Amino acid sequence: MAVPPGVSEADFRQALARFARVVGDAWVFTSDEDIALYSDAYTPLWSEDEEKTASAALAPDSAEQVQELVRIANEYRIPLYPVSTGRNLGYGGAAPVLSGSVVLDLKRMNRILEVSERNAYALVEPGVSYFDLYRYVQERGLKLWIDCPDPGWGSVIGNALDHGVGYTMNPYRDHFDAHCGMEVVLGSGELVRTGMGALPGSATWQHFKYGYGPYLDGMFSQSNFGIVTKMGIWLMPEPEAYIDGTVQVFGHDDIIPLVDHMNYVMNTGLQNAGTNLQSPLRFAVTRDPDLRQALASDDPADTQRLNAFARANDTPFYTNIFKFYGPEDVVRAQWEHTKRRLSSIPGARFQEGAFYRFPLTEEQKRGVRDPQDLGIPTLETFSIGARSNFAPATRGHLGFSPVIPMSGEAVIESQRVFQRVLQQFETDVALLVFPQSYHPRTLVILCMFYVMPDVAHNQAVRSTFRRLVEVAAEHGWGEYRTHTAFMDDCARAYAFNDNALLRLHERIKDAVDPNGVLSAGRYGIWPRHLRQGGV
Amino acid sequence: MASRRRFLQIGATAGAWPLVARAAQAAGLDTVGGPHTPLLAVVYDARLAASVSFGRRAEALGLRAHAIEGDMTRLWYDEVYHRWQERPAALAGLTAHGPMFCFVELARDVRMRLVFRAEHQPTAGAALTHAFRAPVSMLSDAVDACRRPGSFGVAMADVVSRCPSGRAEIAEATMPGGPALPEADALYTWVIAPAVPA
Repeated sequence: MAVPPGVSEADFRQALARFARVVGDAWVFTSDEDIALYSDAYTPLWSEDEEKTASAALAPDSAEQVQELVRIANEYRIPLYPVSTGRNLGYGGAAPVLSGSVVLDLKRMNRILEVSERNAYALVEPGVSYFDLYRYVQERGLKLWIDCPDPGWGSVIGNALDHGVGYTMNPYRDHFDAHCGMEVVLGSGELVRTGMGALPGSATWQHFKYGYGPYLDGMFSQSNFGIVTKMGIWLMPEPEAYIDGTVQVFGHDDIIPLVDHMNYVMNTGLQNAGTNLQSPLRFAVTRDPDLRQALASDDPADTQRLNAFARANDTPFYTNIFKFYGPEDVVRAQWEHTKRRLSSIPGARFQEGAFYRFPLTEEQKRGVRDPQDLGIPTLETFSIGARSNFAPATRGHLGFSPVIPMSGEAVIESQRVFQRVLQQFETDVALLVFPQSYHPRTLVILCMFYVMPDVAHNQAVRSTFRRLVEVAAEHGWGEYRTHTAFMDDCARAYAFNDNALLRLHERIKDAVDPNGVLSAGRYGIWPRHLRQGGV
Repeated sequence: MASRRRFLQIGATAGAWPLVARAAQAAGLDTVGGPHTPLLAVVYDARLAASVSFGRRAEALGLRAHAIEGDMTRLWYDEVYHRWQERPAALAGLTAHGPMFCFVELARDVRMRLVFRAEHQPTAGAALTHAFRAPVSMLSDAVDACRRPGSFGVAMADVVSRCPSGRAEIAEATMPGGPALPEADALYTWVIAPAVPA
C-alpha cells in the first residue's frame, strides 16, 4: 500500500482505522482506483517520478470531524492535504504538494449555512461550489448575484483562499477581498473563528471584516496554517442594468493613455469592473514572423512598421471593453463620460456593446455572450480551449501569471520581455495572453502553457516556466498564484532581506502546526522536519 | 511483469449502495445487481454526425437522449446536476473530449466514475483507431461493433445500453483501422456510473 513519507506501514494502518472510526469506513479511500481520483488532471509531471500522488483520502462532513482527523494525524505525523472541490485545475488540482499525503476531501461539507438578501452575504462550507450557491439564490428568487470564475464549478471558499477572481464588479470580483469572516481548524485541531466571529453570538460576523486586534484572515489564504471550515462571502445586490462598450485605439503607444484613463475611471469608481484588454493587431500578425519579431523589439523603426500595418489594415492595436453595472440612467451616463475621456486619444473609436435590464428571463440568459460577466457560472470554456478538441492530445494547461503595474509602459515592456524569453527557448509550448486586471489596481500577464502526455514536452514547459519566474523577478514582477509544481520556485523569488518573508512564514508554521501535518509545501512553506536538512 | 487485474463493482457508491438499490427499484429500473446498469440518459452533440447517430439509436432503444452543441453547461445545470443531487445515476455519451471531461469531473462529487471509455481517434489516411477501456463484457461487443460497416455511433449506443451491473473486470484494447469520421478530431464514447473498486 502507498504510505506517507516518514510513516511506517503499521502506524499508517492504525491511523486509517482510527480515521474510519471518525468518518465511517465508507469515507476512507485507499484503493488505487479511489486514490487516482485525487490526481492533477493538468499535471505537468505526467508519468514522471515527481508526479504528485496521494496515499489515501478521507471525506469528513463536519468541522468536528475535521478536528478529530487533525488530532489523529498529529499523533501519527500523517501529512494531510485538504481540498474543497479539488478543481483547482491549472494549479495542482486535488493532488498534494507532498506526494504520499492523505487528501482531506471536504466536498461533503457542502452546506450553505446562511444567505442574507438584506445584507447581501452568504456563509458557506468548503464543499459549496459556485453552481451550488447560484442554484440556491435562483431557486429562492433572491435579488443577489454571485461572482464566479471561469469555469464556474469550483469551490467558493477554495477559490477565494487561492486568490482567485471573477468577472463582475469590485469588490466581488476579487474573491478573497469579498470574503468576511472564517472558521478555521488549526494544525493542533483547535477551532478558531476570525473577525467578529470570535465574539460569541456575534451579530456581525459577515458584516465587519476586521474584528478586534490583528486581522489574521490573510494568513489562511495561499498557505497551510489551517483548514477553513466556514467562510462568509459578500454577494452583489442584483443591479438594475448592465451596459458595455468597446474602445479601439490604433497606435502602438496608445496603450499608455488608454491604461491611464482606465486607471482613472476604475479608481474613481466611475467604472468599477475589470478589464477586457486585447490586441487585435498582435493576433493579426501571428502568422507573420517578421512582424511578430517586431512586437518583441524596442527599435522605433519596428514600432513604426507595426503602426503602419495597423493603419493599412484598419486593425486596432488595442481594444478594451468597459463594463458598467447599476441603474440604467447611471450606467449610460458612466459610459458616455468614459467615451468623452478616451476621445482625447487621437483616432480612438467606440463600439456600443451589450445592454441588459435585470432580471433576465431564462431565454435571455441562454443568449448571453459572457455569462460570467453577469454572475452566471458556465463550463463553456471546456468546449473551446484546453481539454477540448480545439487543443487535441493535451492534458490541460497551466499559467504563468505575474503581476505588473497598471501602466501602458509596463504592458509594452512585459510583452517584449516575455516574448524574448519564449523565443530563446525556441519551443512552441506557450501562448502569451494579453494582460488583464484580475485584481483592482494591477494587471496580470498570462502565459499559457499546454501540458501533454509527453515527458519531453512537459520538461520543456517546466524549464521555460522557471526561466520566466526568474526573468519576471529581475523586472520586479512576481507571481500572484501558481501550480504546485512551481511553488518553491515562486517563493524563492520573494527574496527581500534574505527571504525574510519565507522565514516569517516558517516561524508561523512552526507555531500553529508544529508537527507539520497540514499541506506540507504549499506555497513554498515546509514544516520544520521537511525543510532543507530534514527528513 | 503481468499487469494487475482491476475490478469495479458497478452500481455502487461509497455510502450510497442501499439508497441506489432502493431508488432504482422505486423508479422501475433494472435493479442494481441485475444484468445492466440503468442509464439516466445519453448525451450527444447535435453538430457531430456519429454522435447524432448515437443519440438516435439510443432513443430507438428507449433511452432518454439529450442534445448539446459543444457546451454541456445547460444540460448539466438544468437536468443532470439536480438528478445527481437526488441520487447518482449512470450517464452515457458520445461527444468531443470537453463534455466527457466535465461530466467525469462532476461525477466525482457524487462518487461516480468513468466505467467505459472509448477514444475514436482519426489517424493519417483518414482511418480511425478505437482505444477502449471497459468492462470485459462490453469490450468484446465494442470491438466487434467497430469492425462492422456502418456508423460506429449506432453501434456504440447498443454497447453502452448494455453496461453491466455488479462486479466487472476492466480491460483495455485497441482496434486500429475502421471507417473514417467526417470530423477531424477525436470523439469519445463514455459511461459514467456509480462504482466502487471491487
